[in-house]
Amino acid sequence: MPEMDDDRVADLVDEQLRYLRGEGPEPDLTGLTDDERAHVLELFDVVDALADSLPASPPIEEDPVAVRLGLAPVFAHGISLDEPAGSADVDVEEVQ
Amino acid sequence: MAGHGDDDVEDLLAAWHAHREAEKLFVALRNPMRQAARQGIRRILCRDPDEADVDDVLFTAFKEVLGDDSEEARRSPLGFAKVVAYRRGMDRARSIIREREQIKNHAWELNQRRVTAADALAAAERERLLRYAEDCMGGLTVEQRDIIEATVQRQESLSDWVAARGTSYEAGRRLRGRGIAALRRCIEARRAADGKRNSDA
Repeated sequence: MPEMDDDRVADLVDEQLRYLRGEGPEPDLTGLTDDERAHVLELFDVVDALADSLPASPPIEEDPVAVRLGLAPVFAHGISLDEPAGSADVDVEEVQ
Repeated sequence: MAGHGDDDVEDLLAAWHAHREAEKLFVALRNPMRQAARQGIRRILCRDPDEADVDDVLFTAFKEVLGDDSEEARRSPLGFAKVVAYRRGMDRARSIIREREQIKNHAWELNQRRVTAADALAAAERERLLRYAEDCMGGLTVEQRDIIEATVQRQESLSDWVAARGTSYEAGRRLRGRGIAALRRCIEARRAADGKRNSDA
């Protein structure tokens, strides 16, 4: 796989981030060779996967959505994900 | 490093399908769904999402995932959940715009209820890629890691990042591009190693 020069990669990563965030058009890859396009699309896959992945969720017992779903009491009593949780206190009907 | 082909999340979700253990499912899905919700909101609003809106979307989307028993959900529950969160994020953003503009007509509300198998599989693949990328971050330079965390994973602008460090915008852009390229090479190598390990097993 050919490596592209730093400036071109920097431009395309910037354009892809702007596109993902609704701040610009989809990057124009016309003019690239098939190999270059494949390389760039792999870079875009990495950008797409990483984009907006932080901040991570708060500790589970403090997660506001867990509280709203009624799951917080389960976590406050402590469940180990290394062990089977046994029968759940909360089921789909309860949270709906 | 553990392989990412059949990851723990999928195991948890399989357990949920058998027993409907909502708390396990929530633990497994809350980070990927929050990310997808942020992306959906941001895609429409073109600004940093409010984390309270992200939580609203996660709440709505998680209930939707719990209540869904479609073929797509069963085939790739993680991917399905990410797609649902992304779309509900877009819905939330459109709702914010409507509220802002005081538009009462809901006729144009996004109605993308159907999640195709291709949607779900692509989202699940992005999640696997994220895990590889996180594993590979340790191999970057401190500056590369910092700029990617701040401007790609978080919502800091590149302008703010370079201004805080007294470097040029162009130098920052190149640093970030080189970091992403280095991550791609690392991911490629780790995937190849995992593939070889799996085929040897």
